[in-house]
Amino acid sequence: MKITGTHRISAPRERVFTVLTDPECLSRVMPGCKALESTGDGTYTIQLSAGVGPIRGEYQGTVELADMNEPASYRMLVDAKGKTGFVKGEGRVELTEEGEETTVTYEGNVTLGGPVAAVGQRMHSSAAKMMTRQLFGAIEAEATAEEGVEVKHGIIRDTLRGLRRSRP
Amino acid sequence: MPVSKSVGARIKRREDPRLIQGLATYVDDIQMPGMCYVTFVRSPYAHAIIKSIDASAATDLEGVVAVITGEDVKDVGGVPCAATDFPNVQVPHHPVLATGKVRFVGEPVAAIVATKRYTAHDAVDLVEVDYDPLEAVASGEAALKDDAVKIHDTDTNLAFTWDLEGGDVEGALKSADRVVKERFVHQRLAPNPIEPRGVAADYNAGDDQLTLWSSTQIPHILRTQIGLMLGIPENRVRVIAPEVGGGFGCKLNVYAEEAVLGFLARKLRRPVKWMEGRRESFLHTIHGRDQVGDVEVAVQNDGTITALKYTVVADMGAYYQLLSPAIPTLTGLMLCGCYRFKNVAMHLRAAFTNKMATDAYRGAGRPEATYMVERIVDCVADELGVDPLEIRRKNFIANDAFPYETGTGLAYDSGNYTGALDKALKMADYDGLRKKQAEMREQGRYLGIGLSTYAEICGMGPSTAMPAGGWESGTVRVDPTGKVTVLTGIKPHGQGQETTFAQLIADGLGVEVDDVKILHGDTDTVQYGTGTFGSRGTAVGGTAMIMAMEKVKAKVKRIAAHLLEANADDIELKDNRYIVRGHPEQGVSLTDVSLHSHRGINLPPDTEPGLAEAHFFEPTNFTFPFGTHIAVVEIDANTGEIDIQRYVAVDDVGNIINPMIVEGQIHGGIAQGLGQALYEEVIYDESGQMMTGSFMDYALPKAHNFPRFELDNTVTPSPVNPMGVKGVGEAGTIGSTPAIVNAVVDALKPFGVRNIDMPLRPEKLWRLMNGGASS
Amino acid sequence: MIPNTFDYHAPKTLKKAISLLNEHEDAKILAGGHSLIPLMKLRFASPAVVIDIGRVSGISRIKIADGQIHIGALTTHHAIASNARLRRVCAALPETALEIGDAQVRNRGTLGGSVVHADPAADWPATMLALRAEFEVGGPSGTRTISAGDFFVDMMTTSIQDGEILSQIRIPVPPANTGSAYAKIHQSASGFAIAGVAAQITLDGSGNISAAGVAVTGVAPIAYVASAVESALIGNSPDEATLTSAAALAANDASDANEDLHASGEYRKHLATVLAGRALTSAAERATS
Repeated sequence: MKITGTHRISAPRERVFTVLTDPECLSRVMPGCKALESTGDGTYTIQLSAGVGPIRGEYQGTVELADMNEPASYRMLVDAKGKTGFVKGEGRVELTEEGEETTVTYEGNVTLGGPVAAVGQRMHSSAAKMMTRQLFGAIEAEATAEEGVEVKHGIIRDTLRGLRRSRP
Repeated sequence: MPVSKSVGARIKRREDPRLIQGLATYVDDIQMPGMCYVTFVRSPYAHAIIKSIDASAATDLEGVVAVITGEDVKDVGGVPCAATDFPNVQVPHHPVLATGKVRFVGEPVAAIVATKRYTAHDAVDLVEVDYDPLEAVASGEAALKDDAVKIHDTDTNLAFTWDLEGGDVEGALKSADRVVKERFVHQRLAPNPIEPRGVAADYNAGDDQLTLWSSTQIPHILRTQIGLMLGIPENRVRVIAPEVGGGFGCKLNVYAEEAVLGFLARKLRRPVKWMEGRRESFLHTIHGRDQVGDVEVAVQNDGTITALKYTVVADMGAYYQLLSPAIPTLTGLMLCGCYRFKNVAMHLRAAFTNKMATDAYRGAGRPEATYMVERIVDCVADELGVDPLEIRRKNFIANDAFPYETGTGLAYDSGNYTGALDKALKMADYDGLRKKQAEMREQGRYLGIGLSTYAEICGMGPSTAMPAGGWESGTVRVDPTGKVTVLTGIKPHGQGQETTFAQLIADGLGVEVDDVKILHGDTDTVQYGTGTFGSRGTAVGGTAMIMAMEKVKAKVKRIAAHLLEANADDIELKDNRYIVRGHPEQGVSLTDVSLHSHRGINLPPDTEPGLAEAHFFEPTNFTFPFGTHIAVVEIDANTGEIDIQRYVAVDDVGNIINPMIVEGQIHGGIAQGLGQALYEEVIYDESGQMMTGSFMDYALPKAHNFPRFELDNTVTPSPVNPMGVKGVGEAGTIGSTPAIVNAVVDALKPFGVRNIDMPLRPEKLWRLMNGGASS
Repeated sequence: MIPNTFDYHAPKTLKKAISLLNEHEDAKILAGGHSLIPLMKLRFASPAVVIDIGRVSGISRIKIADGQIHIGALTTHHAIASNARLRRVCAALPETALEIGDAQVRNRGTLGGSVVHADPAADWPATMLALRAEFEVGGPSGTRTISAGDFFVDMMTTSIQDGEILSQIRIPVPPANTGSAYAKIHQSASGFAIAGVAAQITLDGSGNISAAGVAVTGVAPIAYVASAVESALIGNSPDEATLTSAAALAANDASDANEDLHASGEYRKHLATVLAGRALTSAAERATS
């Protein structure tokens, strides 16, 4: 499944790049992330509780950030498995300066497998897009937060933020 | 057919009261003291190396009795294939539990045994399998490319090749006025019987006897294979097929789970049971069809077809099941359809892919043949600018040409293709429909009329042509008190032989239908038989029974003659009495004769006491039902939705024993054929992941999708068996798929459409009607 | 197809249900069960606690009073489909209910359950939006009202908070000269909406459209109000030309279009316009009859 898109974040590029690649921020903005730990060299183990609505699965796996070209681009590889299936994804993220704002463009491929693929195909594409909305909603909040202010995330908040930013 | 009271009557099925009242015993009704439940851990990957399996968390769960993996069953024989005699054939070992690698999503990797069903399911989540995923290949054509990932540690995914040549196809193609070509896709289907598979097993150490209950169509063949796979003498294995809730070919097989349950029962010395869930069924019960190929026909300008060539890739899946390689060869046999031409060729390459095996599914290779022939005939008509009816009439095998030798080496038993066609055309008011179509086109509405004039091959079959023998057995026993028991080697699973066979015996022996009991499905009770598939139950199984019955009847007449002091040749059956011809006051009943025979005194010379005979019938030929289906559809240009306005079917299945049962078979067959045309498709994505693994996405047809079918018959008896029956189980499915597709293509003719791949989803049609590309 | 282990409660009052919901962190409300139970059997949802509100009184009645149609959250689709008074007062309600699933599903599934589950292809969200419904939601700190427009946030995401339970749905009784309808195209396997459009039209004294509510489901990640269609209708006569040109705008307000094996986004958007035409035509006819 191809995933592509563009989001505008009202924060400077360097700040957005940090949010996207700093493990502490990443663990807060990734939807359903319960733990993210570095194993060195840009690789992290991840525990996710991912899903849509009541559909929720626990996934464990790895995230790798590669080809780091601060603050312009990087690649992200995800390989996570759970009882309901597995997710394997790879994508390229590019950040472009637009004055005080940043345009984030991403392009990637995600493979879903196992039970969740066999039974839930109608939701794959829309679920992936929704999680991306949530992700960018959270990124927006983190990137624009004032120093020292703890950002509250949650599915609805993240989604609303994502929706607000993605509507013209 | 002898003059009958019962045969030909629409009597209600004897099976139904127990089914409707929930009194039937299916595998899931089997309960045994101490019985444990089995579940399977299955691969989520299409292709992967198994690095390790850690079942400790599962075995630690309270109630889990055992967890076994491929290592534990490495001495169990592989899942068998009976059809491997092919050029260039690869026969990969098909382990009952994966070892080293998994090669399709759903391949069983471990089996869990637990005291409670829920525990067995919970434990599946606790088995940790560490996989190293590999690239997968999910289409036959892709698998045959040189750079495709190889599935079986060989240098090719080519499973085998097969070529059929009759006459001079290349010559005919060269000298033809025109060559019409088309590419056809026969999509992969899931049979989906209402009862999924299930196996129960019990080992009695005292008798050294393994009993296996399985929802199977072939209990005896299953017994033989299980004995071989588990290394047990065959007479120490008993297979019981209890009530079987539909099969459609997918239970004409030997599955890993059957061997594993037998293994577990013996190893654990506890009864065990496994019931397939529907999701498992989509993954690990055989799929049907999955051929992609090109057809070329040589045509003269006057509409005469002189040759047909079919070049095809057939998708086997990752491993063979029992008959996987044989199915596409059945396609080859019927590539001439109802038509005279003798130049015919098929070039088949079969491919391994990272998917579940394909095998027999209602029609088993013949729907593919009929589909292509009937579709290409419409393409020829389109090419020549004539009504499709004309091409059919022009090329039909003449009524006086039977038995007809085809270019594929078959001898069609009997036929009257114009008879069925004319009847159907009249029922449908074909000319009126064409007028209506023209009027509606002027109003910007799209009516389509589709024909299918099919002939199909069934009554499987002469043993020379069948991978595991094609004969059938029947025993007829009469009790001292005159009741009759039939032991038949077929395994009915919805076909109604408990009724139709009783009708035949009732008329044949002179008893009431309710005096006859038909036993089937238990290998300890019933003599060796082949099973129910290929529309053979009555044509072959019924004949075996009739021949056994005739032996009984001959003996009854001898004894009656002896009792009545007449000649055996003068005894006839009249009104359920064996009388001296012309002297009805001198007669005896079957009960009289049977009692006498069991008493054992005063028997005619050279006559054994008792009254039971068996017969093993080897058919001399297949049988060939045929018919004409006409579909009338309207397509909504706004949405692409299809409204099936009428469906007319005239089928000739030879003599009919019970018209109601025949109608039922045709109804169900048509529904499944239309299901393929309009709704159903098993889809694996490029990485071999199942995408249509439930009824949320796999669309079975439902009653409200169809109008009332208008059915009728012609009757052209088959000379192949004494009853003159041809078989009806698959004919409806075979005839219907092309009828509806021809109708839709006909409706879309104004848009220049000549072919559309199945299933005919509304969006496909909408795009064709609104300027988009086809498919 | 066997769920993970869970604890089960069947409170008799809404208050008790809310208290249980707030007491247990990983709890789900069970209404008709025809969304939740299949997910639990697939183990796609494994709540530790299931709170069955099927025995809670007072939330399954249909009542017309105070200019509102009150429907309890636990009212089954069948109860709505078979309600003769609703057929006269607000035809879109029984018409939508009849499009859901099959008879067995309609006998068990509830309006409230469907609405809170907010499946992208469910039928009720479109009708609730078109009819400008309001949802009464109870939580630990009391009751609040959420308008349908604010309720459906995203795919399977509503503005109901954890710890709150939907109890009543209120729809304004349509004024005189109002007609409503629901038109749907079914996905052939699941029966869910590939696209579905609900429409309500009110005509003024001169026969022009004075109010319009139109909403679409199945096309976007969540049902949405087709504002462009509504705007194109207001003030115009409900003739074929108006309805057709308004219906053509039905996909304009879709934030995104769903796509899957059964239908592309483009086709869904197209269907939205076709179904809008059908729903508007039917609604207009009903408005004048």
